[in-house]
Amino acid sequence: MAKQSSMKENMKHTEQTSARDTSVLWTKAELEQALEAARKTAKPAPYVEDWRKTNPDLFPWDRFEDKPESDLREVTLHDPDSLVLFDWGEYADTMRDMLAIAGDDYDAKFLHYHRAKSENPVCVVGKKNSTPRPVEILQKTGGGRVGYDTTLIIVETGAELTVLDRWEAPDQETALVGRTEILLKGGARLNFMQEDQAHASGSVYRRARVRMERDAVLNWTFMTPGAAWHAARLEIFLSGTNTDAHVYGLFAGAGKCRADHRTHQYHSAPNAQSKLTFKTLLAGEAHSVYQGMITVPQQAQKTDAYQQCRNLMLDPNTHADAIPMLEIIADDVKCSHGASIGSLNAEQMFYLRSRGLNYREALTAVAAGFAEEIIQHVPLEAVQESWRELVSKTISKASGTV
Amino acid sequence: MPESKEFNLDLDNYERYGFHDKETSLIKLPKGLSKKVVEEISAFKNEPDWMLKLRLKGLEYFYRKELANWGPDLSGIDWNDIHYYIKPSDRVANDWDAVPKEIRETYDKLGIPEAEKKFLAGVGAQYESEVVYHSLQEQWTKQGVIFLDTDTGLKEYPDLYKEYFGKLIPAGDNKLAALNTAVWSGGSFIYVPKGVHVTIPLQAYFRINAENSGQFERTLIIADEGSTIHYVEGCTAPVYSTDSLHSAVVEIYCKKGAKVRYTTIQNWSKNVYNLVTKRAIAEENATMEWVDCNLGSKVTMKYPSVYLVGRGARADTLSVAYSGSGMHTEAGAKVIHQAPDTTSVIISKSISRGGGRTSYRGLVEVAPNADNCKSTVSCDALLLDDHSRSDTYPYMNIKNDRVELGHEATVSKIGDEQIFYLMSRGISEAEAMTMIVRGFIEPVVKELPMEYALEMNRLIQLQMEGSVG
Repeated sequence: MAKQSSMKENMKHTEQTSARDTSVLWTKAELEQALEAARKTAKPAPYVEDWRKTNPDLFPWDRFEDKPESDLREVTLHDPDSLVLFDWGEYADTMRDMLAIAGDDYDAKFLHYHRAKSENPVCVVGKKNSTPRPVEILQKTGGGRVGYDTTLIIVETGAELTVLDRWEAPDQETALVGRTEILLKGGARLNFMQEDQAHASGSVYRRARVRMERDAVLNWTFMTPGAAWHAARLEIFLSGTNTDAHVYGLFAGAGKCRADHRTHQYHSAPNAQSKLTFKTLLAGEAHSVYQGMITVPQQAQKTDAYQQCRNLMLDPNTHADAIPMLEIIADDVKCSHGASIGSLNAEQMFYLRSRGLNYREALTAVAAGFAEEIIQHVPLEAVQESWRELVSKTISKASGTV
Repeated sequence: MPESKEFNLDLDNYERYGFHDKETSLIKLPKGLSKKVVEEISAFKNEPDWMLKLRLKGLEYFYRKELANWGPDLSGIDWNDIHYYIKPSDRVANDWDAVPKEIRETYDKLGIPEAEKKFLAGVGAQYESEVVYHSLQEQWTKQGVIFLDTDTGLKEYPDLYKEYFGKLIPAGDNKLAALNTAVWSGGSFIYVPKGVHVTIPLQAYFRINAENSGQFERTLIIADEGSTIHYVEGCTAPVYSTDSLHSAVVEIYCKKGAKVRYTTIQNWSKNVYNLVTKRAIAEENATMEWVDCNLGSKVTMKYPSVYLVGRGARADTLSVAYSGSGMHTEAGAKVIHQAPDTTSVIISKSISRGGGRTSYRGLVEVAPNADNCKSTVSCDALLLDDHSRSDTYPYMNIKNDRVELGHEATVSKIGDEQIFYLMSRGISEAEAMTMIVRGFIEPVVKELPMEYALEMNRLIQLQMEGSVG
């Protein structure tokens, strides 16, 4: 499977993945076990606490049994020296660890199917002394099927990496079960941008985890454009001292779409900092569910953690659920969270209109400014632009009759 | 300051409230729950048939329902090891001297009759399952205010009971409310007529004395249009080695323009499971205020809620929770905005130490038709050592875009700069800590009647002893 290229500049690697018959990571027996476990595991019930707000029955479970077909994967490398791509020899064990399935029934069925059906993962490794130039990963799933994309990122001690990871499915009713697993070793730095763009009728389940060792720094931005059913679970494990994580997320949805984001900042070492801001821009009949958790056990003294969820409702039939939670045992900590839900700020609107903007223009300015607080943290200008476009698409669909 | 360096709230509580009297009850039903127990309770009370039917319905729901799969650990409750009904006296006295001697001595130790003389419009005292004393000052009786124990209330005002009892918290609301519906006994019944302002508080004391017993009081408050009322309840129990259960149901109706404040000072001993369902409904321009201080118990689960169903209604919840060693206090609040222009404020303060755990669990919900609602939730937690725990679980469910809703929460320890500043002014470290904690809960304490504010400050001071080091 050694597909590493010797090209030195802006290498673009495109791969039409084949229907899966071999795997480097898992033995045939393990794959069969996974499939059996997937079939045996009950799908989450809509009345359990975790899924009470987002009906799991609306995900197209029956399509997990469809015959797999090929998907398209493109990875653009701007800096091939620092990376191992599709060639994980020495990393295989680390990757198996990263893709382990935890025994919780919240999403076990998704994860078993993912292991049984997914292609070999895209794995990006950042090595020391590399110039930190961006890597772009684009995975596409074709019409009406379920995609199983996997992105693994390992940043070696002291290395720095910038990754843009996108999944796209422009066709109707295409679904995704995606996994993102990130390991930041001592002092590693990662800029990570993520976007799952399904069709408005599509369904997405994304599980993303970051494990941070001593002194690691993370800047993670993500964008969720509206899909019919979108659930994402993002976990940040601050396992080393002095780690620093910044997470900025945005959900911009119009029409009949729903997104359920849950985030977990898990501090298990002292002196770490984590700041998370999640914003939603809701138009039409968009429904956002947000559940955030900060956990600070006893050993994680001197933690500085923050989590906020801001919801801007642009239409009367939008719906926002926010559940920001804290579980704190260490006492020498600064932990706080905030949540707000509301419509356009009347004073801001009045000010803009008194300067001659019409209602529509004022609404656009206020809503775009609201989203800008997330977008400004995106390190690549091209990505900023494309996210602004997604935001303005949502704003243009708001009736503005609030 | 006393010289004891150890945290000695337990000791103090034991001395003041932890005594237990020789049991001299008239009737004590055997442990365990059955249809027969429910029927017997109803028969003792000579109840109308519909109440027995409601009790049996409650029992059915109790068997059928599961306990919540979230929140504190309730696995220590053995439903079959509890006395569901203990009758200590054969009638409700309204003259203090007529209360049986043993019970009177208990309440004398707690200082209740003096409190009545000085500050209160009326007092009720419940011992085990039954109310033993109830009285209301004449000036309020004359204006038509009713303050009775629930059993007498049911006998004298059956129509009001048929209309209001179990309507806000139906028999099948949750497992514990179902249990209360099945075996309820005692509690207060208050009716305030239109436009009457009861200017000094009414008060009830609840005490569990027997071991392995359950107290299931049931309180119903109806504040008619434009009236105001302030109700205060205090709870204590002796320290036994086995656990007791307190599972009350409180229903409050705030009619148009009425204002009700319900204050709780809960200081159960550390072997009481305190699992309470409290709910109020506020009509047009009515105000419901919960002032909720939870200082004791082994496990508390309490989420006083308000349904704002009339335009301009308002809900205020002020809550203080303290958890020491071996305690888990989960105190929260719920507000359901179902009408336009409604407002709610929730302020929660919690203090954890000695390995205790406090949690805030709250809900703010806004219905699609409830335009121009405002809601603010703020939760502050203090952790006084490195093995105590604080959790915040606020739920917000908003189906209307014309709202202003905010939630803020902080968790911290006492700031070194604050201590340093006070010490530089000549105050000892221990005093400085106590002052800061008092300042921390001040927004709630200042809302309490004076005697209770003093009591709260005293309790906090006791809790802070030995905290330096």
